[in-house]
Amino acid sequence: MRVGPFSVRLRSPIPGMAPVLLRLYPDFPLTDPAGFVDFDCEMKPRSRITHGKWQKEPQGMFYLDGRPMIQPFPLAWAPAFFEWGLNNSVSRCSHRFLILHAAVAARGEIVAVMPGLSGSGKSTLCAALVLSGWRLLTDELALFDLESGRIAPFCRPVSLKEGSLDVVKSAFPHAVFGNYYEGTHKGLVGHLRPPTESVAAMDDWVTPNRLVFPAYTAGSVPVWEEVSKAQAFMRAAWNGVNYETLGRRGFDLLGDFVDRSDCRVFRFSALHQAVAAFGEGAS
Amino acid sequence: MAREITREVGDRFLLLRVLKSPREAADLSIPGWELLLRQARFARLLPRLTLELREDDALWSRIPDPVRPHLEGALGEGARAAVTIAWELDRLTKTLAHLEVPLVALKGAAYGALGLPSSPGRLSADVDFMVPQDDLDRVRETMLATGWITATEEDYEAFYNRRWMHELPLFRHSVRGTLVDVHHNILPPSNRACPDAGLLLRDKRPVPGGPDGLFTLSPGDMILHSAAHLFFGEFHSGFRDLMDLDRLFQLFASREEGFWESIESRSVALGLEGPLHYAAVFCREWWGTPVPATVGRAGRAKLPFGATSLMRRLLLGAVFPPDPGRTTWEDRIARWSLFARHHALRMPFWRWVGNQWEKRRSF
Repeated sequence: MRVGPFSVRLRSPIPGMAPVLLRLYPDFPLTDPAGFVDFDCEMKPRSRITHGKWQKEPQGMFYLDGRPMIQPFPLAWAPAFFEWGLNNSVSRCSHRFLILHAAVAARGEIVAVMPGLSGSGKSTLCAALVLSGWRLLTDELALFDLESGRIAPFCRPVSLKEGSLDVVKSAFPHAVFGNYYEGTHKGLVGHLRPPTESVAAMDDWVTPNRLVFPAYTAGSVPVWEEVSKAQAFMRAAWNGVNYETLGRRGFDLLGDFVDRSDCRVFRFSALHQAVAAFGEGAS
Repeated sequence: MAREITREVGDRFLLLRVLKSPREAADLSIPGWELLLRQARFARLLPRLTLELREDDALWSRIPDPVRPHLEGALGEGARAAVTIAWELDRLTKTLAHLEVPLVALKGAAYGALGLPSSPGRLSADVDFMVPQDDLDRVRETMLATGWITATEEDYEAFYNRRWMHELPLFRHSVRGTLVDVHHNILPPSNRACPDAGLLLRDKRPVPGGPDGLFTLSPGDMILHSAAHLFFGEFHSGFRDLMDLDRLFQLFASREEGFWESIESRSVALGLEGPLHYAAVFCREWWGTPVPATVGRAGRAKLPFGATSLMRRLLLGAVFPPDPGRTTWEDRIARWSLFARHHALRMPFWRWVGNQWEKRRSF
């Protein structure tokens, strides 16, 4: 199937993959089986005896082109690890894009890039915006095309963890989730199905014009804080996935983006308030 | 819907053919390009492949649109790898200068330092270099004091490594994140064929135009090292190593007088006749390298009957899988055999048993 700018083939004998994928990816276009595939992925159970030891729990592996891309994982959590495996694969093999760890959402003229590592609240804020009508471009990897500086949507199920799952579910009871996985290295994890309209618009590349650093702060009312362009650049680069590999080109592209964009920090806690304030403040 | 079976699908030598003659890529079908990219990524040669394809403008313009971004993206990775090597060697020579210890760059680091044709587009996981065994402790202390960190060693592991291994545990730079491997020999001492490090160091050559204190092995020794590395079982980069060997053979034969004779006698002096024989045979067979029949003669005499055929079968499965994304049973058996052989050579079984006994008794 096509996911954003890439065509992905997943081969897997693991039962339980198909139902979850159907629930989370029903709107994604299928590609011509004879066409070119960017990422040929395989997920399969790992042998029970590895390095001379018997594994108590059945494990699975994610392979790209025959090489494992992530650590072995419990077989029952395979659908969640498809997301991580694909993220890793794209991160390592797509150097025509400058890739940042960032969510990107859009509404009207506004295209906001929200970089942040785990815990910053970027996925929570992104989920809230998207469930309130904003367009989802990506919740995890922002792909900046090196030629044009535009963002190629890499629209996927939004992965939410622990506390943010509860918060999002209580604020948006109609949200559709895949399975929940307890006890992963990130705690409880669930995936939010991306809106049909966002998926349909996955070929619509846009020029970003806002750089917002989400900062989830318990109990805080929504607050916008100023940040200098230099600081904004450094923070964005800090969230770079392949920034060093691209060298000068990545530096120039990021510099251009920061120069022409509005850069601020956004503190928030309650989601509906945050969404309203975000829409107003970003305009 | 069944996919068209084209001639390229299942062609284990597709990448090899295209690297030898890029024009072969001109008529590839889409599944053919997919397979080529898969083989290249598996062999970690995608940047190298791209550089070869770019030499030919007409060919480059005919590459299908969906394929091109993968190739262009790989160039960035290759360029980055080259910069990393150059910078790390620079930093390491400065950091270790006061020790007045010779740093002998190995493999990718050496090819990069010398600007050899095998270096553009070469991806390395780490920077390798060698120092005299007596200076190992001082080097280790200096590195730990200047921002390098190493995997914490438990007592037994430290003892084991110092006694049997040819390298310190991997160093990672705390800020830059690069990995460095410090060796005192090119093979583990526990390996029966371990060469005399003194001989290697005696013949080291300074890097022309490079920083003081930076050396590489002599040309013949570089080839023998690469061959020993591959044919004693590190086959993960086997394809790349074979390609390096082909390029190195040709380059040095054209530069050095009497090269073929000297490498043959050197292999005997170092005890590495076997790897040289394998290198000669397989480079000739797969790359068409013009290696004279006299090279590897000593090795051929020394190896047991059928060894070359067996090695050929194992390498075919491990280094030239028909489709890396779809491992067959043969590939798996080949890889497992080479893996087992590697460990057996590295540590003869009786010694391993002895080590396990000591481990339980004293630590």
